[in-house]
Amino acid sequence: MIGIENIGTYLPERKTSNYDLMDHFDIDEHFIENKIGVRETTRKEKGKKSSDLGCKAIEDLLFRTGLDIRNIDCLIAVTQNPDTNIPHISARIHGQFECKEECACFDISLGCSGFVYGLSVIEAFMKDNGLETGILVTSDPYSDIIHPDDKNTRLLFGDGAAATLISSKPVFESGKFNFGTIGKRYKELICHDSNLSMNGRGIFNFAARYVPKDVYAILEKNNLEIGEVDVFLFHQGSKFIADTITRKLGIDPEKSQFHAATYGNTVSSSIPIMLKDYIEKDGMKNILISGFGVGLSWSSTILNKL
Amino acid sequence: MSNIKEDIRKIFRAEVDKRVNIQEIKDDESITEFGVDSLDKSSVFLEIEDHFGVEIPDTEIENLDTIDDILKFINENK
Repeated sequence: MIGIENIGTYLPERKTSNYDLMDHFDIDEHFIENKIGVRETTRKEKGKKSSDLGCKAIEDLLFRTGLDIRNIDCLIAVTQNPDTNIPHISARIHGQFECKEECACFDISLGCSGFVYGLSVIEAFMKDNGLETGILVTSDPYSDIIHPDDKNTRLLFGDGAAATLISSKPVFESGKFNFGTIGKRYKELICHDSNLSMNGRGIFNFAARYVPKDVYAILEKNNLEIGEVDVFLFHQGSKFIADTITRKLGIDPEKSQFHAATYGNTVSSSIPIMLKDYIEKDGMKNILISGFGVGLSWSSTILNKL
Repeated sequence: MSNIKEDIRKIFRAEVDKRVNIQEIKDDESITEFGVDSLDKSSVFLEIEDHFGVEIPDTEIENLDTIDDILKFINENK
């Protein structure tokens, strides 16, 4: 059996307070705390790139597990902000840690749905090829592409990365997955000339309409009732989006909390950053994870705690 | 007509932040000036689209700032 064994994460210590931006964006404390839900956003050091953040997350993973990274069989990275267009950042990370030459490396270009897609890809890749140990890195620091005057993005996105260890000694076994794309609406969240632009209303409508339907579909696919799910980990787009999905599904808010208040929306790393807290937590069986955003794209699955 | 208006008001009551006393808004009063923020507007307009089967383009949002505006839009586009 192949599945998630452990997770390492990296959130930069440097932060920007949204309270300091209240006058700049004409917002108040209520808006920060109850609507976007993000009080602070993490900001990487200038000059640091996606691979640097990914390496930091791997260092945390190695600290937590004592893994000898030189022997891993594959390393897959999810990013849409690679250090350079060529090469893939997984090769840079491979070189940084001096992994063995027989280690497969490739990148996946996806945003907020990237962790769930990546999880399915790495598990299938490892099973098909008889691999025992792999790492899924998610690292997509948006701070380099956010315009300081853009209220829609500056208050929400934080930098961060995660490194998920996939092995034959899993803590979580993945159930069946769901995937989807609405390519004709790709412009809702797009980067032109290093400037990110987001149609907040478009993204909200997408999340509010599609994610609840997808939750029911993934529950049915995995033969589960909504009451059998112990924790719902929705991509942390904003508190407003997460709360709207929770309300539409009639979920107990205790099972679907907003976690990103002190770091922000870390794109494909949002789910593994939350999931890390449940690695050693007992008393739960089923965790539903759901990523959605850039593309527009979504993916979900059920993680069964072993 | 009055049923549509009552449905619009129901949507406002359900979707707008409880700290805004939305039930007291007049039909021709600006929802922006009354304190309905951009996120609550997104939520209201989503429900209006789904409930009445209309599509509200982004370019129309600024023009829909009163309950009367919304009622007129629905009647013209339903």
